[in-house]
Amino acid sequence: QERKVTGRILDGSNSGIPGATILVKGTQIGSNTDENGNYSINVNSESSILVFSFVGFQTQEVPIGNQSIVNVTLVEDVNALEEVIVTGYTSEKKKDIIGSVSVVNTKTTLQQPSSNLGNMLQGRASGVTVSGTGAPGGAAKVRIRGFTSFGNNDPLYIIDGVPTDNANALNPQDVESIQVLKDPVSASIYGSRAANGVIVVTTRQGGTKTEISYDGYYGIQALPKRAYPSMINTQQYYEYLQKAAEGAGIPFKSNVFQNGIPKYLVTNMNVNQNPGDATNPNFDKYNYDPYSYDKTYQIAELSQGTDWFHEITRNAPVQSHQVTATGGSEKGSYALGVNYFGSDGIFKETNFNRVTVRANTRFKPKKWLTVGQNLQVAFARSSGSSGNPLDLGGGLDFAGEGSPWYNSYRVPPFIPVRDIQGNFAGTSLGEAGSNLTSPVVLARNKDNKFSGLTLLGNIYAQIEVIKNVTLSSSFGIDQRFGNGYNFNFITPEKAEPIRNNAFSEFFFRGGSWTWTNSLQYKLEINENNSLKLFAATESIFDQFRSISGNRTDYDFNDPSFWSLNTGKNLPQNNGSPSTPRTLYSIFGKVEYQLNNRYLFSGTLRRDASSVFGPESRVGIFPAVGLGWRISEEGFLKSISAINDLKIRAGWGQLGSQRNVGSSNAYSFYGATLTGTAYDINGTNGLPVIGYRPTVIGNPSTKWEAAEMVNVGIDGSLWGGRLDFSVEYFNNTTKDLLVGRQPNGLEPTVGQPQINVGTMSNKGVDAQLSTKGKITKDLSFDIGLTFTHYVNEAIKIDADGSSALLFGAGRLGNIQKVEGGRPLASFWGWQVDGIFQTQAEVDAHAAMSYKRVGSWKLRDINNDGTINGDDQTYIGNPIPKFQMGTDISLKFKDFDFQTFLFWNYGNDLYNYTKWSTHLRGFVGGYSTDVLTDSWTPTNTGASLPILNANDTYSGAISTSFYVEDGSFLRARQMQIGYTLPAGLLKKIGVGRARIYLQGQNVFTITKYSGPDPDIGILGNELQMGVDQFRTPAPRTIIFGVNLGL
Amino acid sequence: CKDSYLDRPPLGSISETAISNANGVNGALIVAYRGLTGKSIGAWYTSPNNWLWGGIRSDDSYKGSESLDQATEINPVERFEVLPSGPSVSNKWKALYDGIGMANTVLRLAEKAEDLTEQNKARIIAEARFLRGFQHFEAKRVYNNVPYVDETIETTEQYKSLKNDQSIWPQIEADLKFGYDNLPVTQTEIGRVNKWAAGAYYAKALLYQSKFTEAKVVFDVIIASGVNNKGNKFGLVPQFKNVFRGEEENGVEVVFGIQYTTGDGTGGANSNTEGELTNPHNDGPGGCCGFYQPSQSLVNAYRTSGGLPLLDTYNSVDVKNQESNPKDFPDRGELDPRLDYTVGRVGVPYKDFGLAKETWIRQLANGGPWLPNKHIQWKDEVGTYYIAGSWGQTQLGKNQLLMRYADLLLMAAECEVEVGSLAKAQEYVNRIRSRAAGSTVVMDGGKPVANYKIVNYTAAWSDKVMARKAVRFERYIELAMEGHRFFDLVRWGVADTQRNSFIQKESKIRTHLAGSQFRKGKDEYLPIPEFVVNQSKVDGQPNIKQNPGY
Repeated sequence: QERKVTGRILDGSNSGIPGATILVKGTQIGSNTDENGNYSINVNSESSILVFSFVGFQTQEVPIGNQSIVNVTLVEDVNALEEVIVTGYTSEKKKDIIGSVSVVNTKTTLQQPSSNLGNMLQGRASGVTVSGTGAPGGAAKVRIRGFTSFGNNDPLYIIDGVPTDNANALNPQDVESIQVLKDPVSASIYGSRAANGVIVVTTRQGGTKTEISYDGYYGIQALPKRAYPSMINTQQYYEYLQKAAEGAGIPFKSNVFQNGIPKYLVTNMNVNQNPGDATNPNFDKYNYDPYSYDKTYQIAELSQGTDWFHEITRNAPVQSHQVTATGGSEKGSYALGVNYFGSDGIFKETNFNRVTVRANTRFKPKKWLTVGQNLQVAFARSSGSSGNPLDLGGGLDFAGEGSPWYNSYRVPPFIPVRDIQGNFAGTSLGEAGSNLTSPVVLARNKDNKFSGLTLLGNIYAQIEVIKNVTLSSSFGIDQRFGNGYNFNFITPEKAEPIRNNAFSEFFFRGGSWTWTNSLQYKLEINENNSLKLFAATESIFDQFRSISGNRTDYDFNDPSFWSLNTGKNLPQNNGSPSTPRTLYSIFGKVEYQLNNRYLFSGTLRRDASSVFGPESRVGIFPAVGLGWRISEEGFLKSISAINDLKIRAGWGQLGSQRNVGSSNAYSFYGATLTGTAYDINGTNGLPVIGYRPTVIGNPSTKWEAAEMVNVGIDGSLWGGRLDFSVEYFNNTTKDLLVGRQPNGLEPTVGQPQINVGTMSNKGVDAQLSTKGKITKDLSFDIGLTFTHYVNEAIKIDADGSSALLFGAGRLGNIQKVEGGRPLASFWGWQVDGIFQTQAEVDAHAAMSYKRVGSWKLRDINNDGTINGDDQTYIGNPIPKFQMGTDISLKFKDFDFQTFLFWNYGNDLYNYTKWSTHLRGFVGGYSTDVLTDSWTPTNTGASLPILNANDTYSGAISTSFYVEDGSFLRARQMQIGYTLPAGLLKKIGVGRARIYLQGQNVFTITKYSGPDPDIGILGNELQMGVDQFRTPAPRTIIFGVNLGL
Repeated sequence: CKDSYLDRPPLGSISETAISNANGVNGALIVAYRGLTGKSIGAWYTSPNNWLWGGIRSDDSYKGSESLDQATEINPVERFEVLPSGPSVSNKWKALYDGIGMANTVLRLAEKAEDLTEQNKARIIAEARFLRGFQHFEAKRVYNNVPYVDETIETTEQYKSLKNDQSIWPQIEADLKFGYDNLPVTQTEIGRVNKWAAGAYYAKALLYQSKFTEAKVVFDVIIASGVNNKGNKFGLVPQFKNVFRGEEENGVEVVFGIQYTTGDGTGGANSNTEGELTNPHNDGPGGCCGFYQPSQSLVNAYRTSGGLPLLDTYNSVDVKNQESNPKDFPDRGELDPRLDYTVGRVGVPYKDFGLAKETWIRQLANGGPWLPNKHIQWKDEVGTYYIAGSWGQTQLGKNQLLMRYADLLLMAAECEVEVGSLAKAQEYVNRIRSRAAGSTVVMDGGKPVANYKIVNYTAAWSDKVMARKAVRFERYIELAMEGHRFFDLVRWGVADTQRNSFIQKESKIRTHLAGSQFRKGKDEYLPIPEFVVNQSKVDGQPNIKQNPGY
C-alpha cells in the first residue's frame, strides 16, 4: 500500500530548506525538497522511518505511522568539531586543528552593527586586544598577543585570500567567517608577514538556496554623561583667577574682570585709543569682517559659562542598509551585496558615508574545474576633514591638539558661542586663551572632504589535475584611490589670528597585487589515517604614488571657489612616489594524521623581500605542530562526558618586515625646497636647492624573527554543551628591528632599521562556551574569552644601555622604553601628597618649587635634592587581562543578547588633566581646580595650592596624571523578536526579525577622562596616553532582518 | 626574473656616487649653510639666534608668554634646572652636530668631485671649514666640553671613539683661520662668507680665550679693510633704529648673518622659524606668540644721567611701566633713546605700528610689561620680509644678524682695554654712542616720548677697571636682545653674580623665578645631552663625559 507523504523541511528561522534529502531508512528510496523546502515521497509501510538530512544540520529520523504530512524542522549541527575552518591557504576540520585559531562567532558578532572589522573583534576572540574611538567610520586598533615589534604591530588581514592592511574598507555585513591565527603552527604559512598574527576573513558565498535578504538598522549615537568633563562657569572662573593671584601673592589684574564680571566683551578693539571698549562697547562700531583682522570689531554678550562640549556634540544618526542576494546550483553560485553605511559624527558638521558593492561568483563548469572571483568596490566619503577615514588615525578620528574635544577644553567659559549679530564669537581679547572656539572650527571645516575608492578582490581557478591533486591560482588586488581637500580660513576673532587663507588638495593611488599558485594533495589512507601536502609560490607588489598642492590668499571663502588655481600666492606642489615593495615566496605544508589520534603539521616558508639588501633578502620560516586527540584513546573513550579532548603544541619562527622602509638598504641624498634649500643669493625670493644625505641605508638588515611556542588544550564536553580552549604562549622576537640610534655626534639623517632588539610576550588565552536548554522554550549560549599577556622589552639597542624617551602633547619625557620593562611605561616624578606645614616643607629634599600646599615629590635616591635622578616608573599601559562575555538567551520567538567587555589592570596617562587641572594654557578648567586644590581648610586635596605663578607643577610629568584604566563596559545589549512563520507566509516573507539594541550601554570605571577605551591607541611606544580622542558614543539602534 | 623583481632602488632621491661632482658639491654646500638655521631639527631654539640660550638665561629677558607654554623646553632653562634629557638641550646639540656633519660632507665630496676647478675647490673648502668652525665654536660656548668632528669621521666606531676631554679651541681656531686665510675678499653670492666675516669669527674665538693681543691684530685689520660682499666697507648704519630694517639686512653693518626668505610658496620652510615665537601676541605685530620679553633690569639699564649710563646704580630705581603704575606711564624721564628701539613700551610708539598695546602682551602676570622690539618687523615690511603664517604666526623672511659691526667694534674695544690702549677703546665706544645719539628719537604727538639723552664719554678713561665696566655696559645696552648676553657674562666670569642678583631682584615681580639659582661651575654650560653620553659607550664606558654638576 504505497502512499504519498508530503511536507516541508524548515530551518531554525522557519525558512524552507531547498535541496534537503529525504530517504526511507534502509532503502534506496529518496527524494529532495524543492526551492521552498517542500517534498513528497512515496512510502510503502507504516513502520517506515524517514531520514531527513542536509549539510550543516543534524540528521533527523521520523517514524511515519499513519501521517501523510510530515513537517520537520532541522536543527543546525551543533557538532562544531566537524566544522570546516578556513585557516588561510587551506582549510581543516576543527577537530584536526593543532594551531591556535580563534574562530569568531560571526553570528553573534554581526548582530552588533559595526562600521568596520576591527571594531567587531573587541573581546570576541581570545588573545585579541582592541581599542577604538567614537569617530564615525573610525578604525579600531587590533593587537594579537601583545606586541612583537616596536613599530606597527597590525595583524595581517587576508580577505578571500588577498592580503591587505586596510581591512577597514571591508563591509562587515559581507563577512561569512573570521579566523584569527595566533601561533606559529597556524600562521607561519604567511611567513614574514605573520608575526603580528593573521586574521583570515571569508566573505559570503552563494549556496544552492536562492535567498534575498535585507538587513538594516537605524540608530542614534549620543555621548554618555560620564564623557563630559565638569568645567567651571564664568563666576567660578573669576573666583579662580582671584585665588590664583592671591596664591601667588600678586595683585589681581585682569583685562576682563578687573571691575567684576562685565556684560559685554569686545574683540579686536584698539584698547589704547578706546581703553574702555574692552568691556564697554561702542555699538556703532560693530563690524565682523571675515577677511580682515584689523577691520573686525566684534561685540559679544559675555557668557555665564559656555558648555563647549555640549555645543559641539549632538545626537548623531547612524544607519546601514544591506541587501544580499545569494543563490546558485552545483554548476555555479553567486553572492551579491549592496550596502550603504552612514554615520553622522558625534561632533557637529562631521559625517562619514560608505557604499560598498560586492559580487562573489563561483562556477564549476567541469567536475575538475572551479573558477570564480570575489570583488568588493567601496566608495567612502567624509566631511569635516580631508584625511582618509579608512586609515587608522586618519580622517575623522581626531586626536591631539587638532581635536574639537581639545579645543573645548582650551576656550574659557566666559566667551559666548556667538556675538550680538550671530557671528561666531572669538577669543582675541587678552587672557582669553589663544584658540578658536570649537564650534567655529567645526563649522569652517564642514566642507573639507575626503573621498576614496577601494577595490579589493581576486579571481581564481582550481583544477583537479588528477584525483586528490588540486592546482589553484589566484590573482588578487588591493587598490586604493583617494582625494582630499581642505581650506584654512582667516580667523579675525582669534588670538594668534590667521591672517591669510589657504587651500590644499591631494590625490593618491596605489596598493598591491598578489599572485598565488598552489598545489594540494590529499590522501585518505584509510578512515583514520590521512596525509595532506601543500606547496605554493606567491608574488606581491606594493606601491603608492601621490601628489598634493597648496596655495594661499583667496579672495573668497566660498567652497565653490576653492581650487589650486584660484589662490593668489605662489602654489606649492609636492609629490612622493613610494619605492615599490616586492615579495617573492615559496612555501609548503605537510599534515599527517595517524590513527585519528596523533596529528602532525609542518610548514616552511621562504620569503625574499626587496626591502632587504641582496645578501640578507631571504628569510626561512619553519614551524611544527603536534596534536594528540586524547579523547580517542581507550582510557577516555569510555567516558561519555568527554566528546573531544585534544592537547597540542607548536613551535615556529615568524618574520616581520612591516617596519622596514622600502628603501632601508640604500643610502641616498634628497633635495626639496622645504628641507634642503638656502637663500644663498640673499634675494628674499626663491632659495637655491641643495642636496643632503637623507637616509643612511643598511644593506645587512635582515628579517626580524619572532620565535613562538604555543601549548594548548581543547575540549568539548557533554555533547558540546561545554567547549573550551586554553593556551599558553611564549613569544620572543629576536633581531628586533629598531631604528638605529645615531651616535650623538652624527648629523641628523634618516636611520635604517637594524636588528638589535629583543622583546618577549608571554601569556594565556582562553575561550569557553556553553550552551543548552533550561526549559523547552528557553535556551542559552554563553561564550567567554580571556586574554592575558606580559610584555617585556628585553633589549632595545646594541649596547643594551640606553632608553628611548617620549613626550606627549606639551609635556616632555612622559614615557620610557628600556630593556627589562614593558613597552611605553610611564615615566616621571612620584607625588607623595602635599606639604601641609612649613616644617614639612623645610624637612623635605630641596625642590625647585616647594611651599605649604605644593606637591611633595619623592626623593627616589634620597640625596636631599629632587632632580632628574628622581624620575621613576609611574605606570604601565598594558592591561593585566581582558575578558569578553557573550550571553545569548532565546525564549520562544524572543532572543536576548548581551556582550560585556572587561579590561583590567592597566594604567592610563590622563594628559587631558594638563589642560583642565594644571591649567597648561589660559582656557577652560575643571571644577576640581576650585574644589580639589589645596587650601588650609582643604588639606586632603590632590591638586597643589592655586598660584598664578606656579610654572612648575604643570611643567613636569608626575604620577598625578596616571590613573587606573580598568573598565567594564556593556558593549552591547539586544532584544530581538522573530515574527511567527505562519503570519509571514501569508505575506510571502520567509523570515523577519526586529530588534532593539543598545551599544556602550554602561561603563564602570574609575578613570576620570572621557573614555577609558583608549588603551592601545597611539604609536606602540607611546600608547596609553589620553590625548583628546573622540569618546565612544552610546548608541540605540532599531534593526530589521528580512528574508524572502 | 627574480633579481630585477626584488631590486628596488629608492625613487625620488639620488646616490652619493651620482652627486660626487661640481653640482653635487655646490648643492651640499648650500645645505651646510642651511645648517646655520638649525631647521633640520625643526625646533624653536636651535639656531645661533640664541634668544633662549643667550637671552633668557641672562639678565636681559624673561621667557615671556604663558607660564606653561613651552614649559618643558624653556622653564627649566630659565630656572637653571635643565636635565641632560631635556628636549631643548638635545635639539640645540643635534642642530649643531648636524651642521658640522653637513660641512664635513662638503669636504668629503669636494675631494671626490673631479670636475671642480682648483679655484672653486679651494673656495668651497674654505667656506665649509668656516662653517664647521662656526658650529664647533657655538657648541663650545654652549656645552663647553665638546668633541671635535672632522671629515675623516664616518663609521660608527670612529664616532664612538671621539672624546670630550680636550679643549677644541685649537681646531676651532684652525678652521676659522683657514677661512680667513683662504676666502676671497668678496663673494658673488651675497649669502656666502667672505674673508672678513671668517676673520671676525676667528678674532672672536681668540677673544673667548682671552687672547686679546692676537685678537686685536685681526680686529684691527678688519676695522681697517673689512668689506661686505658688495665691496662696501663695514660701518655703522647712520640711524640706530634702521639696523634691523629689511633693506639693511645685507648692509654695511652686517658682518655675517643667516639668509632667510619667505614667499617661496613653502609656507615658511626657509624663513626664520625662531622669530615666530618671539613676536608680540594677539593683535600685535606678528600675532603670536609673545615669548622673549625684555626684563625690568634691562629697561633700567637705559636710564642715563647727564647722558651717561648709571654703571653701578642703574638697577636701583625702576623705569615705570603699566604694571607697577597703570595711571602714570610711560616713564618720561631721562633715557637712552636706544631703549625704545630695543624694548616695546606700552603707550609708546612702536616702529610704524602706532602705540604699543597692552593686548600685545600674552600674560602680563607671567611675562611682565615689556615687549621685544629689535627683531620685530615694521608694518611696511609686509610681503618682502614677512607674511602671515598658517596658524596665526608670522613667517619672517628677514635675515638673522649674527654679527654686526657694532658688536665687532665692542669686541675690539674689549681687547684694547685688556692690552692697555684705553683711549682706543673709548674711541670705539664713543663711535657707537655717537651713532645712538644721532638717531631719531621716538616721537608721539610731535614731542619726544621721554627725555632722551645720550652723550659720549668725554673724560679720558684712565682706569682699566672703569674702562672695562664702561665697555661691557655699552655691550649690554647696544646688543641687548640679540642673543649675546649670557655668553658674555660667562666669558667675563660674572654669570653667577650677575644672574643671582638678577633673580633676587626680579623674582619679586616675576615670581616664577623665585627659588631658582645659578650655580657657579655648573650652570655656565648646558649638560651634554643624555643620548650623546649613552651613544658614546664602548664596552659600557662612555667616551663622552658629562659636564660637571649634572
